[in-house]
Amino acid sequence: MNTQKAQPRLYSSKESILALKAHLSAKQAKLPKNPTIEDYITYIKKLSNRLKQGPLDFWIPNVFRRVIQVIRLMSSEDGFLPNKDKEKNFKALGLTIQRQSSRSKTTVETGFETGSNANQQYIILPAIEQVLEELEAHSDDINTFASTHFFTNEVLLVYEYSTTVLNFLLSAKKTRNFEIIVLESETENLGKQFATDLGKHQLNVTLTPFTNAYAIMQRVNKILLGVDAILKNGGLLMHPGTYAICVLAKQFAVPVIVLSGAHKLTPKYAFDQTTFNQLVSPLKINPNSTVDQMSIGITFDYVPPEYISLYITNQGQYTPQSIYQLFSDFYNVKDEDI
Amino acid sequence: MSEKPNQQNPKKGEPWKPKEKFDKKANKEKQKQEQEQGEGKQETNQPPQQQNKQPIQQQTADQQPTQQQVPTNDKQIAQTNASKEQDKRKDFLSHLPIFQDYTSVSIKTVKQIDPLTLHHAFIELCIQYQNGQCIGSTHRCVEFLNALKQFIRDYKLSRQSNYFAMAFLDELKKIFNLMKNFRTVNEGMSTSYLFIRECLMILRDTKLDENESKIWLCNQIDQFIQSKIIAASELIVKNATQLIQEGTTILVYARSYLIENFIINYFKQGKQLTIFVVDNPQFGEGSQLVNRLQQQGIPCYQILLSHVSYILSKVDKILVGASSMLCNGALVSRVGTALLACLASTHKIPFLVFCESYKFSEKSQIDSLSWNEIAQLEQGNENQQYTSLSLRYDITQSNYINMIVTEVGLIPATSVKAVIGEFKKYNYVDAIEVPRKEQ
Repeated sequence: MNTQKAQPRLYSSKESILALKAHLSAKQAKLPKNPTIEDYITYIKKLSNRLKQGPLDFWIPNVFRRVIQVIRLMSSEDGFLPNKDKEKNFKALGLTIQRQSSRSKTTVETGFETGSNANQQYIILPAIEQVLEELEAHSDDINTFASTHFFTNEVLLVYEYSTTVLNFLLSAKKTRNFEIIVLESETENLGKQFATDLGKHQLNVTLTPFTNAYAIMQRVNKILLGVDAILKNGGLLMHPGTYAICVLAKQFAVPVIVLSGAHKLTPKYAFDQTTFNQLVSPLKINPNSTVDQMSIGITFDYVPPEYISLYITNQGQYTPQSIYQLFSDFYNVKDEDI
Repeated sequence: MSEKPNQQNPKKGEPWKPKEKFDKKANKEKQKQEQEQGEGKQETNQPPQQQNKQPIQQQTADQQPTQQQVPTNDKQIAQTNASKEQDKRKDFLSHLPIFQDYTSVSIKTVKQIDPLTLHHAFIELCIQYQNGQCIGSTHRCVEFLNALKQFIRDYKLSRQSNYFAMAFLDELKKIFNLMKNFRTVNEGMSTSYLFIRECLMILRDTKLDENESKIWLCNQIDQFIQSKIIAASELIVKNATQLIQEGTTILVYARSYLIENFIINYFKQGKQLTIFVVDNPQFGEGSQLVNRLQQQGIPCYQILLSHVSYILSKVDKILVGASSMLCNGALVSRVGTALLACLASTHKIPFLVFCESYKFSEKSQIDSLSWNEIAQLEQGNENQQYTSLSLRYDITQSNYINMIVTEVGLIPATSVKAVIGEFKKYNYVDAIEVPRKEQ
């Protein structure tokens, strides 16, 4: 198959934060004269709707949700309520969230009357900086778990290109000796690129086409996957083909480990392959396809949570049954409709 | 059968080095030119030639050590650069045969060394095998039998032996051993070998002279093709048509001679099917099937194996061809079939296998890695820091297979052993007609 032409790139998570920064500092930002925290939050929500490139763009809304959550937390810390006692009590947690938002209004009105810039200076910009830092350091946090899951001379399976997995393996290489099998999908050359990048660091790499997955699977000890989005029920949206790999892994009782930064958490639900999916142009799959012999290609594969053994994120390790907890820490329930 | 589409497979990445277009006239002219060149070389190469005769004729499954022992071989010199990488053994697959990439020049030099080694029909066939122009178990078997018939016609008994049958039996063994250098012998070809051996045993007992024996043998081979391949295919298509109702959605993987015939036949009867063809870009078989269907005016959808999860909920049945069926009920087929079978069983979709009875084998195999064939379809860089691996075959376990459609009926995967037992009683064909001298 010929390689696909590049699809129009969606904003990556980092780029979307920088875009937010740029928009906020622009003179034409449509904010009222003395913007409160709430004003900023509504502005960010509107901006997310504007920048979002289609219903399958998860990265911009995720990042903006996180920024809003950090803003809320930061603005409530400036209030007079001590939060630490309240947070221990789960029931009161819901109440504190409500009180925090109302408190934030009062604190803003009483505390910072000097100008709109003060809010921006003390709350909004630091919030953005924090989220940016989390993003940039996510790989390092994930790598702290690198050697805890491997034994010597293991055989690992990876699929297509994932920077998170690449960094993870390079950090695990320092303490463990293992062998890597890279599965490559039929359309893009990402698999080959991944294999060369791994090979440059003197790792033992084998490249296999996707069709050999069943034959190879009996040799594999663990599977490491990078992900496009983690849904609230624990399901995953990933590169097409991962569903087949996960089904095979279950047959052979091979554990599947998912590596991702927390910025990929998406508070949505999916049930089958068609909930979040998009057909790509037939010509990208096969340049010779015609109306009668049409090629079908999809963007995502949905993997139900039963096929996954462990999620390793920069906020910790979770099982599919417990990953919902991360959502309530990371995002606010109010912002899920962005 | 006679409509062989002589198409180049759409390959991923670089083309072969070099590509040989199968053109008999051009090949024969090349042969003549190279023979004239080779005669000049032969005198200087006689000392290493005698050394070479032994490795050639002793070759069994280990080609690697013999070729490494004779580094000044003409074969080695004429090999492409990529063969050095092929000599490397892989860690867990070092037991599998790796086939050298022969160019026509190197084969001709082999022929120069021992002109009786391989008939030109087989050389052309082996180049086709390596190029990927002749893939698919039925296609390979039929081409092999055609080449064998040509060989029989050109074969001349040396004056020493008067018995055609015994001499030819030796020749047959030699041919098979040499063919194993290029690609593994598949199950259909082994069955035909056993069948021809039976015929030769019968010939040995009768007293026919050379010409009559040759004619009779060629007739027997034609009968084998007719009854075991062509007539079987018609019966299988008929059996399958009863199974599959009009309007179902079927999924087909790669290209199978039987399934192609079945679909074309089905549409000729005026019925409709929705067809998804899962493509195999490494071998290009899916696109070949699609082109063939396009010629017949049959609409279908193409999809890649990694994207199959999307349409599995809409598919009613999965049809797959076979390279061979093993005694323990396992299916040997194009790599990727086992993956489809696993997905099918998870989604509870019937998985049907189309296989003629001559492909049934007495071997048993559990996993895909203990015996397989490594397909070297892409020339990798010498600097690449990873090893590539691609297999040709795949073992699908019997619990994934719902039904096998053969010409003897619709059987479950576990009954393969019983069918083989039945055939053994009849020498693989119903009865071989004993030749009479009056014919």
